[in-house]
Amino acid sequence: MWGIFRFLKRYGNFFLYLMLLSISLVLLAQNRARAGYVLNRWTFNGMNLLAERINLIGNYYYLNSQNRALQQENKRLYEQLYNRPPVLGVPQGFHFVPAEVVNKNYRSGFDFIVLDKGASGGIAPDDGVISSQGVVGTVRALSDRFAKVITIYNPQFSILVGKPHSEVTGFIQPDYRIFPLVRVTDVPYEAVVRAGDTLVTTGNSLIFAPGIPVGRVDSIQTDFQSRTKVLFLHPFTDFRRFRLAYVIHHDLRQALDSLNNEP
Amino acid sequence: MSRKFFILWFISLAVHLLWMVNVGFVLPYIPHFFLLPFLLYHRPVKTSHFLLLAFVTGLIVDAFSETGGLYAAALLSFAALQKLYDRWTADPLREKIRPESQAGLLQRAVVFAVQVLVFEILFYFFDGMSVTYVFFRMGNVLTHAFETWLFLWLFTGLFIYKPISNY
Repeated sequence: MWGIFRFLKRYGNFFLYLMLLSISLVLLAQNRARAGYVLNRWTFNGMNLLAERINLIGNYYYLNSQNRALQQENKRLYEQLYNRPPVLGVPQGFHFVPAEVVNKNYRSGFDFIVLDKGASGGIAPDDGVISSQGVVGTVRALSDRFAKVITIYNPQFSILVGKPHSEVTGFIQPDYRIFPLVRVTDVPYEAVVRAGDTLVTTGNSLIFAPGIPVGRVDSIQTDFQSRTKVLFLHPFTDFRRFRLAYVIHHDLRQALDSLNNEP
Repeated sequence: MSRKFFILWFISLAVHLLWMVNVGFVLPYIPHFFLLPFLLYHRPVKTSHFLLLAFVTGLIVDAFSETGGLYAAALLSFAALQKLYDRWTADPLREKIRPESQAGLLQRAVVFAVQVLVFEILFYFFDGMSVTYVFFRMGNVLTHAFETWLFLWLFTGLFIYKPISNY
């Protein structure tokens, strides 16, 4: 209470000035057309600006629930999209688990992110992780509530990617020295690829559903000795900004992995 | 409140209103006589009283000239600027030794010119409610400021000014 009194005592003259000026301006607006018009315009703009700011604050608090609703809707749409029949060579059964990023470390050579969903959320090791923009990485380690994901820039990350509607495929081999690009190797020498082409997941290992965007080809080099091409890919996912992810889990992947690991 | 301020306030307001009602536009503009106490004796008066008196003076002139709150807004803002300027240049010792009414005529002329010009700019700003309007009417602003300055300076020199040697 004393604080308010002290505040009023200190800035009392300023408030007095504002009050008297307001009275003068009201009188002015009532008696002079031009001043009235300008003041009306100022008031209109000021009120709109204020309403916009209040709306922004409201939206900020509303945003969280809106994000969750959108995540659930995206999950449903992803499942419809990537489980639609017929997908040649890829059995149906992809599940999408929405998750939020709680920690991230990128551009270090040991790039990883931590998600707020773990084993209790239905996630298994080596599940794929995507954002709304494209591929993010794969799950490396799990606890009950959290999952550690190695990103597309981590040297341990490797998946098969390809050009849509063609036989062109290659393996992603990250190298933090060429950040923000990643290298795609083992692309056949005769493959027709141009800078600007989009590469997507093939879905062969059931880590990712087929057709998920990975990145755009930035430049191409030809290795004449091994008769292959090396593509430099610019991933679509913006790691500085992305907050929401989807973990892709396939029921049959572990069975497929165990078969692949048979000698 | 300073007695001198009150007397000068009454006289200058009366002169302004009498000029406005009885003489009218002999010159292109009516000089703003009521500014005089706000130019001369602003330091001794308390800020809140000064602002209230500026507002009331403005309203009285507005009532006679049917300008809504134009004079009130302009004079109030001018008074606030005066007090702000006083605060920045506060020097009580200087005030005691040499009040503004005792300053040299030439010095007063320059200070008056600046002060009157500021008031006129504020006046035309509130008239058009835009800075562009002030620039557009700069000729009117300068003419009006010159008239006001001339009359106030003469009035001060004839009735208020005392040479420094008498002090």
